[in-house]
Amino acid sequence: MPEIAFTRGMLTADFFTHSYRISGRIGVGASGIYGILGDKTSIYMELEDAYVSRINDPAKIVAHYGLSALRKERISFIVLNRREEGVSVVRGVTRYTQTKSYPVFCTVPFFEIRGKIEVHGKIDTLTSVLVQAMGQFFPIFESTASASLFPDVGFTGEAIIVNKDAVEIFCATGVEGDTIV
Amino acid sequence: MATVLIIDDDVNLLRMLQIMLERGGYQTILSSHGEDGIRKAVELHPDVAIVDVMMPDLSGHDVCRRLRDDPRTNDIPLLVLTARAQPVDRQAALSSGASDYLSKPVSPKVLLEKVRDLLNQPPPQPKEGHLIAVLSLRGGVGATTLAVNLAVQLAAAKRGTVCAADLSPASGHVALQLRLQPRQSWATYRPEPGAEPGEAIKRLTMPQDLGLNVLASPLMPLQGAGLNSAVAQSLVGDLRKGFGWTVVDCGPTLDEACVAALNAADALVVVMTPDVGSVQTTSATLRAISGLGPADHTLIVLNQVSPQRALPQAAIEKAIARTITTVVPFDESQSSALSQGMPLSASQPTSALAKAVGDLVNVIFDQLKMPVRA
Repeated sequence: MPEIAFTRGMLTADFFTHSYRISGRIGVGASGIYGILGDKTSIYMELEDAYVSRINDPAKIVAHYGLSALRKERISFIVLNRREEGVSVVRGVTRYTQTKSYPVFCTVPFFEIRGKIEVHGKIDTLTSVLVQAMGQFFPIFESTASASLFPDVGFTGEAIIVNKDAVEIFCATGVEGDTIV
Repeated sequence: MATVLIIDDDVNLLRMLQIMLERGGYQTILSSHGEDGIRKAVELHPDVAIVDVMMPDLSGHDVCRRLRDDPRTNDIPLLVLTARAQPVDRQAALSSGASDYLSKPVSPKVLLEKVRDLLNQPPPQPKEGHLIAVLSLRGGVGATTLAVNLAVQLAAAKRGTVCAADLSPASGHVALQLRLQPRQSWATYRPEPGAEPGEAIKRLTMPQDLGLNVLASPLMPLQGAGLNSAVAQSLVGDLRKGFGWTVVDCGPTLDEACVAALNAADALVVVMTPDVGSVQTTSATLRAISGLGPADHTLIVLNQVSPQRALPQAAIEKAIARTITTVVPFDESQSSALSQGMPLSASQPTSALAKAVGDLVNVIFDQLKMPVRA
């Protein structure tokens, strides 16, 4: 019996702002979630069945709405369960070129994120990752986000998509000079 | 064929899960919201229930808690299936009583394996039952009558087995009010390490026609100190393990058995009458038991045992510095109920006393976060 995907064109993810965790579904097209995040015609993205929790008690649902709008620039990061959901179409096209992964540590307000970034070839400076990579959001794979004030509260995903504007510190190992931005 | 109840607000997912499970050889019951799912679980008692977490009316965690708290459903293995797949979500699911956890999306193979594992698991150890302590340190206020009627109404509510335990050390009247002639009592109770939970106490109780079990007080008044603290705690613990609900008539002294019951109680009912003597005793009792039992779950019942004019309720509440939870009006049929050995809650369910006790039962259900009766 083949595996049955539960959603068609719908992606379920956890969206994090400074203080809230919002779990919901978002309709995505061929360009995946990056298409929605990079859509300049709207500063909001619409979620279906959004369940809201506070960060200090992230399993407790404090609100539920069938439809909600999330301001994209206020999203710190998005936790995705499946790696392929976090790979941009551009990356997909170039996946046969040699890719290196680097362990990274990244902080956004109230969270620290650990995982790996994947780049083609060697990177000389981390700023090149942040500045040159396309779009406002970039993926960290095999990643975990921990709340700074509640270190026991962790969120793992095969991919976490991070808002570049939210990044405070970005560190990597294995890069020349172990740069800190 | 094993039956699986699926509770999920997403109708498409419900159908997909139904197809997966029916192809796997299971019968399915579908429910698209929490309250309906709980009702179906109570009525149909499935072999396994699959519960979604994110549902608009009642979260999956609440559904799990409700099913676990209900003696009729607390043995059903619960599988939480949700798109919220973080470790904190797993922890929350297990804390709410789920047996296992799966994150969406899930393959039919994994789902069927998990359901099969749950069916092969030994049934979960039943949670300890609820204990309601009924207390008055002054005789003649109707504490035993109230305890017996509470037990009768709990049995009628069919939310688990019920025991009326008479912890009075000197010939209590619970058995008398139920027209029973006990041959044994808790006076011979001894803890039995290694025995099945509650077994030691169940052997000392006697069944009663109204669906109750009765643990009688000693047939002859006890001389001396009665049970020691360890035995008393074990007795009360066995009551909780042996029955879904235990209503304890605490008797008129704060002895070890009474203290053990107060400490273990989920709800404490203090009974008083509207007279100066009872007000004084109740006030002193509340001070004496502060720190014992469930501080937030102390309920005061004002029992009008005579038709004579009495102290006004407001004055009583001021004197004892507590709000009265329930007033039981004078009911002249109570004297015939006593002589016939048939509590009014059973013989005259529309009587004033039965209605007041019914209200009290609902207050207790509400405090214990259980659905109240209509």
